[in-house]
Amino acid sequence: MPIEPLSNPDGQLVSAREHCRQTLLRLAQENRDILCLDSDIGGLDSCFGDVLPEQYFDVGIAEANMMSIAAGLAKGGCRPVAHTMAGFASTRACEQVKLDIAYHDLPVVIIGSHGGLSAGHYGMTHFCVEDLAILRSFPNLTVVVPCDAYEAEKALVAATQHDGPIYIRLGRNPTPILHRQPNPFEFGRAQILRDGADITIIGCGPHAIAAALEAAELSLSQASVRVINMHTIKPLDTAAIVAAARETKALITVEEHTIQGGLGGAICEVVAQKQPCPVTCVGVPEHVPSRVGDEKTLLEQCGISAPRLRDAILRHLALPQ
Amino acid sequence: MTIAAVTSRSHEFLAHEAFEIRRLVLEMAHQPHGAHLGGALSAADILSVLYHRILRLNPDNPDCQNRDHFVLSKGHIAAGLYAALMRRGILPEGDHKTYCQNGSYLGGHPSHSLPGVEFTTGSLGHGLSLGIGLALAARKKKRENRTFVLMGDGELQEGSVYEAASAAPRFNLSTLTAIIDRNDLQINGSVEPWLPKGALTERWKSYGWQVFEIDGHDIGTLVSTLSPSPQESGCPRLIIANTTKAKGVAFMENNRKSHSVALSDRLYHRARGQLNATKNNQNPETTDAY
Repeated sequence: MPIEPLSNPDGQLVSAREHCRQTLLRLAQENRDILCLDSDIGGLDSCFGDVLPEQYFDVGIAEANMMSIAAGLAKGGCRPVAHTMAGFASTRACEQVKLDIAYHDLPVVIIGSHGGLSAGHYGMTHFCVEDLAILRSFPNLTVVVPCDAYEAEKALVAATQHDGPIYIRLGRNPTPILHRQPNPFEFGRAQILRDGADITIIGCGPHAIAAALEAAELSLSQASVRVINMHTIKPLDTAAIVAAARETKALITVEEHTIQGGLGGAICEVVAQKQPCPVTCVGVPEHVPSRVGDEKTLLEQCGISAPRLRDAILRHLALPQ
Repeated sequence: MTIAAVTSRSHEFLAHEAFEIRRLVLEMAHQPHGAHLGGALSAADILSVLYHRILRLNPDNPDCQNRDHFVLSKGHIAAGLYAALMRRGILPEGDHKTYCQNGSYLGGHPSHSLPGVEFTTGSLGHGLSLGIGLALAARKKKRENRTFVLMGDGELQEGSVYEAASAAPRFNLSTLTAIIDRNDLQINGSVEPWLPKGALTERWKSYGWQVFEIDGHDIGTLVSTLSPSPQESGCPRLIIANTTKAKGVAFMENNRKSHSVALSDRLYHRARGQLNATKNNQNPETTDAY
């Protein structure tokens, strides 16, 4: 049954994290092999554990343990969905994800919340701007960054049917629903949100995509901008990248992630080998913010914003900024 | 298809198979790359009892769904595991001559691509959590698989072991048995500074494990301790098997240098001679120079 976009007539913000929990509960009620693994992240016990106790395992504050348990469960024929924050999934439990899940190509879904700078007020320990670079280097692991709750739902549904490991990166905060129409979702198949002939912006995640769409609007009188939602970082939609590199003058990548090795790095690897073209990578600089703040503030400090993307567009077209 | 453990295997047979495992391990260490000898020899009796008496498995179909699971968490003693799999008819004996050679499927740490190997291991501190997952899956699927995990005592310095140790009793995993090959030596010396005598039992009991401490070279004790069915209490079981590093080769026993050794022709023949002497109940020479 096709998934309809969320009914959201008022432009209300929706938390992909919360929406995925409800989605998982529904999926687990339909498929008893789907198990929810919790590492004491709060909320899952009541929204899932109280409803389906036989399919809920709280492993404690022990992310490494959780990843290996998930691998064992998957090896035994179950479909575990492991929950933690993105930073703990990709760095604290890094080796368990790499060896026990990715190398073994086991059908484990890892949901990493609080991705990027979305836990801005928590401080540096809870920022996660390295996960995509780390995890896309692991074999077999599909890496997905949905841009809204609707896409997150589609990604989770597909993930629980996928024959291999998947990492789904979510933020912490409610964000706009960017999808207005039903659209097919397939891992590794990018979505062109807006066509354009001069410049292409390729982004992932809610704030990057929102900024890209806004920058395209801001530049409307001066440039025709294509916007691509690259929701799957691995496997990458190389055809969409090569076409954009061939058909437009330059690529601008944007992500809530370090500019080293994430979506921008992955795209540079493709164009360098298949269709060389100018590329500007917009993301978090090497030195992550040392002061706390809400996500929007931190993103603006890092240059992940529509005005900065517009500057990059005009620079590539040698137009006055 | 129901499969059963081979309960008819005599203690003499199991001791003989432990000897054969040690023999093959020495042969695998007799090449330029060497092998993690000391730990493989200390665990040989445990491996023999597991593979020839305890584990319900089908050598012709090692992946059959109702098999018992064995996870070698101390993956560096791969040579011991390969030897056990060969003696049980799961891997072809003779392939041990390719151990660690270019292109061999028998690497210094075991790969899950091999028949009879559940997980690729070698990075310490993963096995017990993997075992919890396997045991939970069996329960979820209403299968009767039991799960055995073999760890080293040095491995217990990895913090992730205690993440697993504290989690397993919460899930009432009576089908899970963890075994510690306690040979008290790691590369740099004694394990005891990190693991004081007495602390181990109390620590795991306090987590909710049912703990047994036994002689890890006594075949009869190994059989009787590993045999019981899952406990009604719901507790996972921890078996502390006190062993001797490099057991069976007197000149290497209790010597930390035995941890990883490439045996020269001279040392190999000397080691074989001492191993043969143990089988014949002879007193082997015990000089410590090698």
